[in-house]
Amino acid sequence: MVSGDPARPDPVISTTTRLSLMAVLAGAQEVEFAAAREASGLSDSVVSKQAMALEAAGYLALRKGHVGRRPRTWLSLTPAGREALRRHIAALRRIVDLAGT
Amino acid sequence: MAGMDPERAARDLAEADQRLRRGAELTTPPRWSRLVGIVGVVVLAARWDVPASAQRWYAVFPLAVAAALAVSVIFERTRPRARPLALPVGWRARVWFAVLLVVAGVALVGGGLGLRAVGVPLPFTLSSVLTLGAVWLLNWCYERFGGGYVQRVRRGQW
Repeated sequence: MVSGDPARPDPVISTTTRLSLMAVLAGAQEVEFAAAREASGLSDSVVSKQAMALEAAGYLALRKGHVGRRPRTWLSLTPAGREALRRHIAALRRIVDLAGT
Repeated sequence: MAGMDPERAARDLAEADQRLRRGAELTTPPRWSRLVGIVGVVVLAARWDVPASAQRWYAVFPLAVAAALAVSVIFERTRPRARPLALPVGWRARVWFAVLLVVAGVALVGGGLGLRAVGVPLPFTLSSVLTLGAVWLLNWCYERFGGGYVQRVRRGQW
């Protein structure tokens, strides 16, 4: 599911926190929750809240697992999320380019 | 969102770029060549002075490799990081990756069989060098082609 006009910024990713989280995830297949939190510069609660919102939008997948005995949560972008982010970035670039011309 | 101002768009782009790089850095593949190299050099150096009466110490090589792998597994399992997008992207990279894997396998197996066929005994040191060379080649293939997507992401070409 990719929402909105592909030529415009995606409203689901419009907040900087969601954009940061999705951008961190874009470079990996799967990122462990703590690593995503550190790389995105967000707090535990913000990552958790935004991850759930992005999951509801179909942009992000959550996977619960264990490393040894410790529970871990892994975050990954869905194909729709990856495509939405690509389009969002392209739309942002267009806005910047148009302003520069 | 249609009315997003260029300043905000530029800020978001910079933020996305920065976070993308941070995410890509999480997936940096481990430098197996260093690990294999260190183990190999230590084992080979020790080998030169091993007297014939202590041939059983040859077992130190697989033991050292097993120990190195065990340490790396523990390290991989305990640190909170990311799984890289390790698969090569694009048919050309995939083909080259597959070809080089086959070449490495042939170098390892064919080298040993070839030497045996021509009557050359395969001493421990030589077989170790062949093994290390093959592992190094596999590692080089992985780093050269496996991380192609990540490398492109780091350059902002994604």
